[in-house]
Amino acid sequence: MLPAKTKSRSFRRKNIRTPGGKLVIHYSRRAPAKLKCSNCKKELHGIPRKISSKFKNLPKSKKTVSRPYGGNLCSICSRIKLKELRQ
Amino acid sequence: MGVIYVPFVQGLNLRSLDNKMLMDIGRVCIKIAGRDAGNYAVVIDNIDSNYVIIDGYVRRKRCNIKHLEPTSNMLKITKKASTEEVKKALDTIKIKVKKDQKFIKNFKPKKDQEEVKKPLKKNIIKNNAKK
Repeated sequence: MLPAKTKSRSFRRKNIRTPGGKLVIHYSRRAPAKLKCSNCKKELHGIPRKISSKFKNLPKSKKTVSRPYGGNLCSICSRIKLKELRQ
Repeated sequence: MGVIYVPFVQGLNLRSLDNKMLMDIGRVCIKIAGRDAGNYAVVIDNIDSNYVIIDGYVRRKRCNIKHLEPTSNMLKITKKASTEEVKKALDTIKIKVKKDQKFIKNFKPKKDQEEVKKPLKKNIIKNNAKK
């Protein structure tokens, strides 16, 4: 009997032809949604789309952007924010 | 030195002004881009119309003018001054932002709360026995 995860559509399906000539289905988790800038809703760079179980094993530098507001605001919005904080 | 300073207004482009006037030696700036963003820097040297050398509470390095936000403060320092001299001069100005503050992202003010001592088990048993 197939495992229960084959019913769930949160798993992505991929048809793969094996070296023996068979067609097999491979199941894998869908990638989470892209992160967006909280101000202008643009997609953020520098943050990988991974499942939380694999994301937590990454080093800190690969999970965030080292700038203040990194991983939350895009570079243009953070510049505007930092200029406002000057006064 | 007749330096014109225009305060920051959203949508107003500072670059339309003369960059040489704004980015003279001794100009106090705020770094906007990169991992040192939000910290105070001082212009030490001019390389060309686009690049300057900065120092202060940032790494001493070459920097694009677009990554700096000039303030109204000027310091009296020599060309290519050492980091100690620059930091001393910066401390004379009253700056609101903390020096080495990795601010905003991980900034949490410390709470001045006294630790509450838990009563020992012996005392609880004794008090219960009295009742």
